[in-house]
Amino acid sequence: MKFILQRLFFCALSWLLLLVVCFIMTRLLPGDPLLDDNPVPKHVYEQLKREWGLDLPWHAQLKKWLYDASKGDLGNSIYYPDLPVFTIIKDKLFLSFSLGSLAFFFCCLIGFTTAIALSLCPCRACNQTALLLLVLLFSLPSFLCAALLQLLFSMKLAWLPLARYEGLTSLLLPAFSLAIGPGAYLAHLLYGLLQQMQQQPFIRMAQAKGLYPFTLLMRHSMRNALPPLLAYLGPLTALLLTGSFIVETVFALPGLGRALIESISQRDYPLTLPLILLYSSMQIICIFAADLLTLWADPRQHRKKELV
Amino acid sequence: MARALLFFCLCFAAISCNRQEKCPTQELKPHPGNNLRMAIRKEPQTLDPRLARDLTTLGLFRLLYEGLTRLDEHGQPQLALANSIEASPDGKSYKIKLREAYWNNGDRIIAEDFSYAWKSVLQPEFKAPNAHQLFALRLAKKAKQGDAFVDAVGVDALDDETLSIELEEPNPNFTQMLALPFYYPVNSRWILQRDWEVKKGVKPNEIPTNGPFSLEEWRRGDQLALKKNDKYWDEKSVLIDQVDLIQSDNATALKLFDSDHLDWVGSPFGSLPQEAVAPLREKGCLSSVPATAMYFLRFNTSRPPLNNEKLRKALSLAIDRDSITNQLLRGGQIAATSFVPSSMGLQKQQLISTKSQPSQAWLLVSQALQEMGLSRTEMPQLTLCYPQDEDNLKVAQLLQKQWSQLLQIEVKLQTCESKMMASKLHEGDYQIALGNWFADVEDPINFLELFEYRDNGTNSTGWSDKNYRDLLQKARTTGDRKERDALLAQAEQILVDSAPIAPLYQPTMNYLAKQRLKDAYLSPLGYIDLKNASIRHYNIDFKQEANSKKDQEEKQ
Repeated sequence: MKFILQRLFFCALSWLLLLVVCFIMTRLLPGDPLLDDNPVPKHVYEQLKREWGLDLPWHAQLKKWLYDASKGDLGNSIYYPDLPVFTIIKDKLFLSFSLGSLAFFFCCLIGFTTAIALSLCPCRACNQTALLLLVLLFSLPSFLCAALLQLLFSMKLAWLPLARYEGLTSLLLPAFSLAIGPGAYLAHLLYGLLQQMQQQPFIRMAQAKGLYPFTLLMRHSMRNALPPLLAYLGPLTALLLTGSFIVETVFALPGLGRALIESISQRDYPLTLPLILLYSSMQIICIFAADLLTLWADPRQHRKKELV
Repeated sequence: MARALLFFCLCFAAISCNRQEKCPTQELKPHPGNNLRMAIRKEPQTLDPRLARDLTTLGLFRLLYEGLTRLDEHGQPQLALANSIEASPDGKSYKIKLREAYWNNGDRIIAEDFSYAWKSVLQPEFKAPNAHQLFALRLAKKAKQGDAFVDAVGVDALDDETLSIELEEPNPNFTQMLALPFYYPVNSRWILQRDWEVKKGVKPNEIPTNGPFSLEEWRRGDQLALKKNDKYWDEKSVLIDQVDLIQSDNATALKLFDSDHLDWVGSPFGSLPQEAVAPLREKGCLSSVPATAMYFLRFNTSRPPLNNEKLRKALSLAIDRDSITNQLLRGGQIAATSFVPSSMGLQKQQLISTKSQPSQAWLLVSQALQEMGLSRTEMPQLTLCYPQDEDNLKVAQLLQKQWSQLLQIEVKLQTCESKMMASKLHEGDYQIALGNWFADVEDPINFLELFEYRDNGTNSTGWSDKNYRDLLQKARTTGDRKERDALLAQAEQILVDSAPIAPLYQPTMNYLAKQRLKDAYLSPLGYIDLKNASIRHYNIDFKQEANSKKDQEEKQ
């Protein structure tokens, strides 16, 4: 309990620190949100600056933003002045979440099944080849992966939609593009951990007792390999859930990843900050959840912390 | 392991070998609907025609709204919401009778809608980015500056059907200007009832429009669906039921076009990937329209060494514009011979050579260095800022090479994203900057007035010239077109001689359209006209038609 409260406190502190740092950093970026290729007359520029509160010092802007945010008002986007920031995020959240969840599922499917298959496979040469392929896969950039999958499954075979969101089937290719790299890395990592477990005395004992290899793997080795795996899965979950700008651009999906990059390039401060905070909140929550799951997976951690 | 690797490589090679022999403009399959699917790169920023700023929004408004006149495919104004236009002999007054037309919410379009729209823009506190487009109206500029009452501006609704307009000076292009989005009406009754500017919870499809199409649905970041406006006064001429504007980046849009999910990609709402343009042009698939626009270099004349006119001229003379358009970009661009595009016919002869003139340039550099009291080796390095883009990078690299080889002037390249670039120009924090201007109207003054005043947002060079300003002012006051053109030509000569800018090339708008689409026009101003466009339907088996065409070609 004490551990959980401690963790919660540090999460809240990190979040607040992040808020201030991100607020300052967005203001320090060169470029002005009110200027672009089509210059406006000077007096209009001054009027717009006053309207958006950009003539105030940064701490006054932060105070105003915090006050408005506490009332649930995130303001309107500078780039889309008719559109509330909350509406923009809400419209994109479902898509990014769906894409991220599917990508996470594929990632775990690729990672776990490959690692288990490799662990059970007696052929050393096959294992070496597979490991080499895994390294190739997680070195592949996601945009290249996305383009190749599009070319094969959409343009050549016409099995799946090429781009745009038209239902769950249109998320399959983007999710797979997002999942391949992390899934291959997960497989590589888990295989290494399982191989380490195989050398443990208690596993050798269980083998000597005559347990089936599959049972040995799933009931004993896997449980012990979970804690380090969760440390990787925690941040990965947050990364996948919040989408990827490159994959969303290639597949023309209106997700949060694209929204964040576009808001930064437009210097759309009212939209950028909530998006960054959303990303960081997801990271903090997923890492916290990973810590809790680690405690569950390895009760010895809990006892060590109690002793400390 | 070797067999697995070989298999993988063969698969990759098979996927990569994609020789597309036929034009992507050919349809792969019949399209059953009567809707046009176009790619759009960015969403519009607003649906209020008074606040439009960027080209995408202005282009979209051509589909959603209509003004008193409309430009045809030749850029000539035709009557639209105006039933008749009477101009006074001095060209300063207009009396316009409106035809019977309605907003898509059923309200009648009345003269007050125009008067309200234009006067609200000219309110000093109204944050209209393009209020200066209305300064042709009497007292408009003074009203915007707060020196006159807005009610005194030269536009009045005499009754519901009659609009009276008074101009500050006669303008032979005024009927053309009435076709621009800046002169569109707004539904004054709806706005006053809903208080639109303040209450921003209005759904996009609730906003009244009066054009050939109205906004049915807007899925943010994904698609805008425009449907045919049944209340449009000329709705019988509109042959397309729906226009879907699908948001995607340029590369994805081209793939969607190739696989027949889009009917139009490229300008005006996007652009084609640069590497695809030349091959498409060679295959004869590409459609191009020279834009009424100019890409040019700005020199910061308020800082040394570019405050030296001879140095600026030398840099301009050293540029081989033909190599930029014909060898580097190869997208149908036209090398600049003046600042105003040659298609506008302002100049009878070239003001700028498209080939570099190294000896003249070298001489000017020597003179400039002498004036500055510097030797060749003391010539400072210059910095060229260019907006982040593949084409711009190539042009910047070529300029760097040409200046280094011909003038021994070292230039450092600095890439800037668009916001940074805009800030640098606004603050004058640059030496040489690559920029462009797309005209709002087919009028040479639209280019020349960019540099009329030093503190114009469009100037940013720190240059101004009294003679230049006087010539532009005189041109505005004369109603005689020939005299006006002569004055503008003189002004352009001053601009080119002083060289605060170096024109480079006139861009082209490239696009791909499926063969099923007929009578859709892209104007040089970047507006697309779909009013009379239609989509060919297949009423026979698609394969039969394709086979019979093939048989005919073989017989020939």
